[in-house]
Amino acid sequence: MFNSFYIANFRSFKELTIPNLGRVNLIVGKNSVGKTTLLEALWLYASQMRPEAIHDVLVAREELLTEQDPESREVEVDIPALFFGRRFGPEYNNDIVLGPATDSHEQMGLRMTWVERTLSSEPAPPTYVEYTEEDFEIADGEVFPALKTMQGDSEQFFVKRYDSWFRTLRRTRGRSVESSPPFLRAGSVDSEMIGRWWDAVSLTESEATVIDFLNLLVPIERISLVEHPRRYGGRIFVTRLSGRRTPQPLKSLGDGVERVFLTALSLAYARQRMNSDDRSPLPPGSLSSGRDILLIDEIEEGVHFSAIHQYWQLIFQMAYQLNVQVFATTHSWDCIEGFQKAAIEDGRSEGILIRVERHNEDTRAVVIGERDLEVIARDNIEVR
Amino acid sequence: MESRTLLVEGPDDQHVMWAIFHHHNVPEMFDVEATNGIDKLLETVPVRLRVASGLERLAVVIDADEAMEHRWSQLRDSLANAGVAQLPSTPDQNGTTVELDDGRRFGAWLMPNNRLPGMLESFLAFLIPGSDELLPHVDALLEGLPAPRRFSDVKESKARIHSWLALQEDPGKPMGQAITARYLDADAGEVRSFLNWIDAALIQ
Repeated sequence: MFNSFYIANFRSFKELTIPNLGRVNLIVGKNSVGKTTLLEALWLYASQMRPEAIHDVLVAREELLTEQDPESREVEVDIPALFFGRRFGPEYNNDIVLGPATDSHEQMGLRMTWVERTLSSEPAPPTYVEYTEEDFEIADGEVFPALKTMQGDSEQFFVKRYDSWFRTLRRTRGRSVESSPPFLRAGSVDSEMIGRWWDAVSLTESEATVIDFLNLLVPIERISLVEHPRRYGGRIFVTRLSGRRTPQPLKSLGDGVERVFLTALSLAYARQRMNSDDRSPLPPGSLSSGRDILLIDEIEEGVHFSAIHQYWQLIFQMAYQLNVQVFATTHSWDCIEGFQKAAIEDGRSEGILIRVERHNEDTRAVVIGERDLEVIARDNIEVR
Repeated sequence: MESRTLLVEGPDDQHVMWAIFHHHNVPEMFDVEATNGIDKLLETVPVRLRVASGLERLAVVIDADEAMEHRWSQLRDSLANAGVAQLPSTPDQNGTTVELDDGRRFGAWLMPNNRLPGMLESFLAFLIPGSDELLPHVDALLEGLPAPRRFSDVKESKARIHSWLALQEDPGKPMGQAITARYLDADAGEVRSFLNWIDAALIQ
């Protein structure tokens, strides 16, 4: 679990420190203050800043360059969009830094730079020398743009290939896309991604937890992911309720149930992706390695306001059971109120409300713990 | 978003405030919120200062009760909880207003007048016209009550004002309505002093 988080030079954040975090964290603040960006920063760090993850963040935000060679159909990602003020390069002190606020060794840095790559005789790895834009002439050989990631003393270079960042970042796609934590973005759901989560969870212990929690709402015996009756290549979730003999689509049980299932599945996936085959699961409530997190943007979406309290209760329980840390955002007062009630009721997990606020270029995070949450809910103090 | 808020101890205080502000055409630049008693008020002040979104001005009206110094020091402790150290060690006789580090302003008024022990009802006694003929009768009534009295001494001003209100043209009007109906004189000097403080704390 992250106890704190620090962001520097990432998108609209020049610098942001969140001094404490709980097991379940709800992020609030005005529109455009950077709530989704905060989730992306956590996700990117927990994905270890892998190139595919960088690619995904840019594509999800549609940070794509519009000037394209009309001959080719290539799309190009706009790497500078990742950096605060779009400034990057070793000559600026503008490296992106993400990671726990209290432990700088665990923080990761990202920089766009230029390198001369020297291949040595096998089997030694290639060496890289960094250059600033003004120094190109000094280099002996050819200089290429590259992304450099740094952690502690180690660094890694990803050199731009095929004249395209888009292709460079994607070239390892499919190999390690499972290593990113689940991120439920706002808006429509990516069914392929959900299907992959189910594939990872199905038949594991985490699947049992999902079914158990769903049973708090509806008497579900089993869930399965089957071929879509009409959409070629698609899959849908079907379920069989206790006492019934035939299965029915999960959707037929209503939006609320589907939403809870999605959340439960993402929590289970967050746990499952971090479990290795031969390791027995940690007992509930343990503090695990730190990257088993779940990110949900606009968590109130699809949940009726009267059900929000119960929804949060389920989240708190499941997060504890599966040792997953949750980060969510909301605009809704009902959602904050439901969160507050569930946080106070749940004595085992800490619920924290984080308000992100912006004054000109500076951003600040106000951390609101459970004691204050009681007063806030009682007195209707506006926190968004 | 409530950027300017006046916090009072309860609904009675709230209605009195509204009646006074209405009578004097005080600009509606702030909300008047009632908490559920002094303890809840002292609890909510630091939370609001720490987390309330867009808060610029916060002011409180609290009863001095028996020991003014005690209430004042409770308020100071409550503010210390929000990292606010600017409240002076004794209240200003004209009502206290302080600037916080970030430009926000905090104000505090101890009923009745930052000097005497008492409460809202003692303040309202100042609004009974000087020439009032009924008041001596009320005082005589209180004097003649069998001992021990059912209410504690600190609540005498409540017994006094409500007894007086029970004998008006429309008997038993609550305090706020009594101001609107002009049984109580909202132009009394003490009210002006109070409004000067409201102006400094919440309007200017």
